[in-house]
Amino acid sequence: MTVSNLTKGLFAVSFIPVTLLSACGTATRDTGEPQAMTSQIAAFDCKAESDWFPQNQTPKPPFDDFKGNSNCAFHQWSWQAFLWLTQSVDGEPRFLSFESPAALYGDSDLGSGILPRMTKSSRPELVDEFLQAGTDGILTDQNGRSVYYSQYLDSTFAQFVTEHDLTDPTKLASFNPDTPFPNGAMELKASWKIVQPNEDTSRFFTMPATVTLLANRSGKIVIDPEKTEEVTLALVGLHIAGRVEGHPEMIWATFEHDENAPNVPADATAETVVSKEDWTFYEAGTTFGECNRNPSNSASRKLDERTQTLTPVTQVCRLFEFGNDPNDAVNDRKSIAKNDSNIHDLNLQVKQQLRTESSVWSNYFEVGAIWFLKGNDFKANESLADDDFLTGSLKLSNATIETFTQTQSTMNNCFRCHNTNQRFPPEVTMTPLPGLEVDISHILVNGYFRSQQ
Amino acid sequence: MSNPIFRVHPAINFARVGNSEEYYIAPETAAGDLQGASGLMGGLPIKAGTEDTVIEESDLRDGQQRLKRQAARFRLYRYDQSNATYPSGGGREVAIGDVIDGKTVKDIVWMVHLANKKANNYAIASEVTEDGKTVAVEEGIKAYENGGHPPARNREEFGSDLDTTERLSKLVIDPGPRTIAAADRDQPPVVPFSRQSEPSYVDRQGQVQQVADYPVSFPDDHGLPMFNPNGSIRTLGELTLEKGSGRLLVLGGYGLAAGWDENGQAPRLNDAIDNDNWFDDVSDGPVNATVVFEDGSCVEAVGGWVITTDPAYAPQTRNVVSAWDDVFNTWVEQLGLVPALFANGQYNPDYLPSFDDDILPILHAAMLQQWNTNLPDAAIQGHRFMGHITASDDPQQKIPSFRNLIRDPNDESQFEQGGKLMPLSLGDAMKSFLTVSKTQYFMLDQWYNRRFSRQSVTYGPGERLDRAVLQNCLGGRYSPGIEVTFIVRDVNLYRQDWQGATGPFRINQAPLDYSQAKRDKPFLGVGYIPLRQAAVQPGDLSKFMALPWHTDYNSCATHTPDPNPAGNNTLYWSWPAQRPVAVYPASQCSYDRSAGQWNLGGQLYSVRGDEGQGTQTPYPQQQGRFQCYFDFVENWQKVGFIIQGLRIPDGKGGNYGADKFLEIASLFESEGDSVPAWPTAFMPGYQPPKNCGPD
Repeated sequence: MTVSNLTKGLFAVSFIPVTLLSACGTATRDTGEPQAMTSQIAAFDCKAESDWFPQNQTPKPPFDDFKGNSNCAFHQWSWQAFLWLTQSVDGEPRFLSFESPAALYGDSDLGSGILPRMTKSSRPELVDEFLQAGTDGILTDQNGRSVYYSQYLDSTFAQFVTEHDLTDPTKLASFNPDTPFPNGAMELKASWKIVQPNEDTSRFFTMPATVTLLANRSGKIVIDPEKTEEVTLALVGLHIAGRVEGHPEMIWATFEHDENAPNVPADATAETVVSKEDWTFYEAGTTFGECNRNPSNSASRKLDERTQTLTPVTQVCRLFEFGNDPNDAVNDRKSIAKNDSNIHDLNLQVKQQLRTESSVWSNYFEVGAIWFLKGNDFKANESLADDDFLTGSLKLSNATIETFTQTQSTMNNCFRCHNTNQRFPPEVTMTPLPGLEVDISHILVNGYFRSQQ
Repeated sequence: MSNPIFRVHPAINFARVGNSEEYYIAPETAAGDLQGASGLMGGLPIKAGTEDTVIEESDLRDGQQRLKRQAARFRLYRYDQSNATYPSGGGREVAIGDVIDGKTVKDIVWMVHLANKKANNYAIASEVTEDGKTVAVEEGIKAYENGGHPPARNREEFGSDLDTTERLSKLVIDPGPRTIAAADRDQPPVVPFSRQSEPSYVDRQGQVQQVADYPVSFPDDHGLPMFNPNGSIRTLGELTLEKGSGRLLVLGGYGLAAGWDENGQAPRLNDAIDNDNWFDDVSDGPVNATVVFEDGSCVEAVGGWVITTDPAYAPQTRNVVSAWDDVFNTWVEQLGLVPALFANGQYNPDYLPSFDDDILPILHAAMLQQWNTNLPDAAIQGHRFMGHITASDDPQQKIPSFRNLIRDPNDESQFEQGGKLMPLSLGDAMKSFLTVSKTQYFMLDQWYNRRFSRQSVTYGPGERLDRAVLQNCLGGRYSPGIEVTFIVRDVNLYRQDWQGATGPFRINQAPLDYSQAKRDKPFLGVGYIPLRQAAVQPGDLSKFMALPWHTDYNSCATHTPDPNPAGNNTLYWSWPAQRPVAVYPASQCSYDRSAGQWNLGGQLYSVRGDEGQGTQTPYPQQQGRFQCYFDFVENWQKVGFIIQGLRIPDGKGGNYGADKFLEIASLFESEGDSVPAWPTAFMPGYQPPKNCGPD
C-alpha cells in the first residue's frame, strides 16, 4: 500500500457511518460523513462518471462494450449497475421488476428456498428465503427476527435459460459445459430486515412485503408456506452478478447499507470489542469472539413460533472492509491496496452525489467486487478453491448475506461457492449435475435439483 | 494329509481401556458393513458372554457409570494347507475335544506378554531447524530413514540411549508373560498382568513354567517421585477365557496416566503427543497358543498380537481410510499379497475389485462421517448420496467427475488441495490432506470405469476377522493415530514369509527365552525400530503412540493442515470417525407423535465438560476439547458413545431407528460451546490457561 493509499484507508475508517437503528427503533445519531473536497476528488484515479447523475438518468452499465482494462473499470461497472438497478422505474427500483427464479421455472410452489414474488405490481413482495447459503446460518437481527432474502434475474438471463430450455434438468445436464451465460445476463440477491414499529427507516429503502413465517418441523427450522405476515422490509444488502464482455465468470459485486455492522480491526483477537456503538446487526461492546457465530448445527438455536423470534441473536461484524485483508499473506498487497482505494474513492464520490439528490441510495456502499484476472481462464469443472485466477476483492462477503463465512478460506469469496464444479443432489434418488460453466449460477443449480423433486 | 497348521486370529486385535472392571468384547464385524435387512451397520462391540450379540446403550457403562473395558477375543483356527494365495478362504476354528488327524485336542494353552515401552522410545516429533529456530515436526517414517530417528523421550533425565539398563528398567512397564489354559473354560480364571500373579510361559513341551525371577517392572517400583492423580499403574490388564469355549479374552488397563515429579514439581502435561515424565497403562504384545493333544504331543500355533488402546467412542463410524487399508496397501504393493492386483511395480488394469468388499465400504465411510462432524446440510446430503450408490448404478452418472471428487494419492500436487477434494480431513507426515490409499484409489478408479465385480470375495473365517478388526481402526492420518501408527506401512514389522504356514499380517515376533529371565536385569530390550531389522517385542507397537494417549485424543478435534497451504485458515478434522468432534445426542432428539418418528436435535461437542478449566472458548480451533490436557486425563471416561439408533431403546417400546447414529452415555453435564456448521476458521490470539498443571 502506498502512503497516499494508506492515508485513504485511514480516512475511510473515519467515515464509519453512525446513524443507527437502535433496538427500540429510534436513530441514535446523525451521519457524520464528511464532504469530499473537489480537489480531493480530482486526485482520485477512479472516477464516478458524470453521466451517472442524476441517478434517474444513469445509463445501463456496459456489457458488450465493457472495457475491463483496469481495476477501476470493474468497480465503475459495479457502481453503475447498482445505480441503474436501483433507478426508480414506475415508482420502484428497477431490480424489483426483474423476474424471480421461481417465475422462470414456472412453478407457483417450489417449496423451500424461493417462492414466486408478485412482480411489477404494487402488491407486497412475497419473500421466503431465510437460510444463508452453504452454512445453514440464519442471520438473526437484534429483535430476534430472521433476515430474509430474495433473488432476481434480468431478461437476458431469463431468455438464455428459456432459449436453451435449461429449466429442464435433462437439457441442463447435457448442456455444453463450455457455454457460458451471454453478455448482459445478471442475477441479484437482496437481503431484507423486518422493520419494527416506530423504527426510523428514513435512511433505508423499504417496501411492504409478505414474508413466510418460520416453523419447527422434524427438528429443523423451515418455512411454513401456509403462514405469512405482512411486514415492511428494509433493504440491507444487494448482490449484483453480471456477465460482461471478456468475463464469462461474471463480475460479482456486493453492496450494503452503511449501518449494518462495524469493521473488525486487523489485529483483533477474540477479546477485542469491535465497536462501542450500536449497529443494525451489532450490539455495542460485543467482542470479536462473539461476532458472526453460527449456531446452525447447535442445540442452542431455537425458534419461538408464536413470536417468530430466534435465539441467539447474531452479532455481525464485517471482517474485510472492501473485501480484502490488507495483511493478505498470499496475494499481491499492492494490487489489493489499489483495489481498495478505488472502491473507497468511488464510494465517496457516488454517495456524495446521491446526497445532493437526497437519495436513500446514498446510504449504501460498495463493499467490493471480484472477477477473473483473465476471463479466458474460466472453464467448466473448476472448484476455484484458491485465488489463482481471481482479482479484485479477494475476500469479498456481504455481512448480511454471507455473515458466517467471511473469514473461512474455503468460503471467503463468491467464487468459492459459485464455481463450475459438479454438484451432488439433496436427495439420494436425484441425479447429480455435471460441471458446467453455467453452474456458476446457483439459480440454475438449485432449479436443477428442485425440478427433480 | 500334511501336518495341520494352527493360527491365532485375529492376527492383530484390540483391547480398549475403561475404568470399570467389567467389559464387552471387541467388534468382529466392520464398521460400515451392512449386517442384514434391519439396516444395522457393523462395528458394534459384542456383549460379554455371547457369541455375537451386539451391545446396546446399557452395555457401555457399569452400575457405577464407569466405562467398561473392551476385551480382545482370540480364537484358534486350523488350516489343512499352507497359504499360497490370499485370501485362502480356508480355516476352521479349533476347540478342545476336536480330533485332528486322529489326535484329540486336550488343551489350548494361551500365552500373552504385555508391555508398555512408551517412555523408553523415540518421540513422535522430530526436531527440525527452520529459520534458525528448532521446531517439532511429525515426519512419520521419514524420520527413521538413513539410520535416523527422532530424539528420545525423557532424554534430559535419562539420556538419549534407549538401550541403557536404567532406561530399560525404569521407563518400561513390564509385568512379564502370562498363561491361561483353555481347559479351565468352565470356570475361567482371571490372570492379571500385575504382581497379583506370577509370570509364566509355555515351554516347547507345552508345559506351563513359572518365572519367579522375571524382572517385573511398574512405575512405582524404581524410586521415582511418582505423581499418580488417578492411582498407581499396577497392572496392564488381565487374561481370562470365554466361558464354555475357551477362547482367549485379553483385557487392558484402566485408562490411567501417571507421572513423576519434574524438578520437585508435578510433571508438566503440555504437549499433544510427547510428554516426558509420564506413563500410561496401554500396552501391546504377542498372543500365542499351544495346542496340546491327548497323546502328549503339542503344536505351537502361529501367534497373533494384541494392542490396548483408547476407547472406541464411535465404533460404527468407519474411517474412510482404515488401518486395514494401510496394511493391505503395504502388503499388496510390497509383499506380493495379491499378484493379480499388483505385480512388477504396477496395478493390473484387468483386475476387477469387488463392489461389496472394496468399493461400498469407502462410500459408506463417507456417508457415516456426518455423525461425528459438524458438516452443513448440503455436505451431509452429498455424503449421504455417496452411501446410497449401489452396484447397479452407473458410477459415471452418480459421480460426473471422479477426478474432481477424490484426491489422487499418486499426485503430490493434490496433497495441499483442500476444500473440494475428498476425503475432507487431514493427512499425515507432511501431507496436508488425507488421501485414500493407492490401492483404494486404484479400485475406485476401476469401478468408476465400470471394471468391477458384483461378487463378494470369499474369506476364511479367520481371514475375515483379521480384516474386520483392522477395518475398525483409524488409518491414513498417523499423527500418531489412535490404535496403530505409521509403522504398519513398514514391511519390517511383519513376518514376510506368508506363503507357507505363517499367513499374512503376522507381526514379526521376537523369540523370547523366558528361561533366561533374571530378577536384576531388564528382560525386554529396545526391540523394533522402523526401517531396521530387529524383531518385535512386547510393547513395540504401542510405544509409537502419544504419551499419554489422553493428550492426543483431546487435541485432535480440528486443526489447520500441516503444512498449512498458503492462505488457508479453514479447520479440518483429524480423525472424525475415531475421535468424534460434534455429535447428535439422543437426549436432544424430539419425538413427532403424528409421524411416529424421532427427529434429530442439535449437535453438541463430544468433549464438552466444564471441569477444571473447561472446554469453552471463542477460538474455533480450540473448541470441542479441554483447554488443559490434564483436565482430559481426569475426565476422559465421561465422553459419550455414538451408536446406531437401532441399539438405543427410546423408552417408548422402540428405538431411534437405523437412520441415526446418536450419542449416548455421555457423563458431561455441560452443553459446552454452540456448534457451528463447517467450515470454521482459525482465529489468531489464543492464549491457553496459565493454571493448566496438576495441583
